[in-house]
Amino acid sequence: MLVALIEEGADEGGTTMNGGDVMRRPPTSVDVGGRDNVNASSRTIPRLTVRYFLYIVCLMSNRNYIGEFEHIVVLALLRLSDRAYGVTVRQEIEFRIRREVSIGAIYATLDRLETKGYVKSQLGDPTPERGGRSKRFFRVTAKGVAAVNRSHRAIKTMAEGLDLVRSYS
Amino acid sequence: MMSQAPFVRPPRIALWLVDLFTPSEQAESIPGDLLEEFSELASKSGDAFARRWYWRQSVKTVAHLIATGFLVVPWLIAGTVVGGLLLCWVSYWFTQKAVVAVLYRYQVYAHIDAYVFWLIYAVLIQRLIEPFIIGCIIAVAAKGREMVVTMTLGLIIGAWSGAGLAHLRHYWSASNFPLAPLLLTTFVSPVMFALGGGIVREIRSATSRRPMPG
Repeated sequence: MLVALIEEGADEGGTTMNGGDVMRRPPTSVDVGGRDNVNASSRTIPRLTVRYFLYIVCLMSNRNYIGEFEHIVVLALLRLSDRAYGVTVRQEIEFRIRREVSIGAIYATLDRLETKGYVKSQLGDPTPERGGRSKRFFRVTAKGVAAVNRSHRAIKTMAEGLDLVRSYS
Repeated sequence: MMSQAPFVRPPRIALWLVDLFTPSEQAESIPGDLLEEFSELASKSGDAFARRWYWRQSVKTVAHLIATGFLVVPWLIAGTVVGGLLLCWVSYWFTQKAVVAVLYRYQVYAHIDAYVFWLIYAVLIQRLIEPFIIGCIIAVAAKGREMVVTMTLGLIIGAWSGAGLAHLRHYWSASNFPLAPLLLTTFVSPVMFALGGGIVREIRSATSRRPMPG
């Protein structure tokens, strides 16, 4: 029933699922606020039917998408390779994007990524400067690298040909 | 001979708060990471700066841990909170009936004022002890998320009682019923849930904690 629902939803919304991967097709009947559409009357507003709403929920629960902060954290892990644990990841992000991040935010994201299978963790040995507590080292899995690549490609494709600074600021 | 830099301790309350809210699977990594960076900052930029940084990080981390609890284990939290509400309802009803039954059965107070006094205060004292016990019980059930669960239950009960009091304000103002103890228990009983949860959490942490140096 769920599969049927997803297929029907895909037909309605122009989005389809392929083996767990989310692929975006150019919308057919739904096109809102496109900058190329000069004629306002040609814009059609999507109708949020219960079926389409459930389809979106199914799609989101699939959890194959990767958010902005998740993307940043995975890239930090890739940069740090075998030195990646809470402190180094936090410092790397703070150093590169000049944004103070809490250790709680880092661990919340890392846990989410671990649930999705994008990263793996293992405990190190306890050290005295940490009050006898162990470090938790993280590494990115092949699935995680693929997800980041996919997300990176999608953003690059979408941004291609756009002059973001001049046209949209 | 080289002199060793003195070991600087992070703010106790902030350290305790982080320990209290950190789930058991991260009990090593989060406080350890904070302590490591704190020591590094204290030696580089001084105690005062490091302490301020530790407080800022602790508050943000606790907020994140509370929010994450709802996202990661929503069914555990919802289940234990609903269980706690049911437990409250059953136990309040049962003990209030029991108090009234005891006072009616053994009418040892000849004067009506003394009788009313015990009738009111026995129920009010029960409203402080019971949330504490219920807080302990649901904290045992919600392993690793004790504080999130007990605080949520406390907030729900607090909001409920507050709304009830506000609804009945005309009645209370017209009667001679002592309002102060009732108000006190309304706002203290939610804290008692969290206190029960905190004690369970502390006992659990103490059994698994490694000794700190210095």
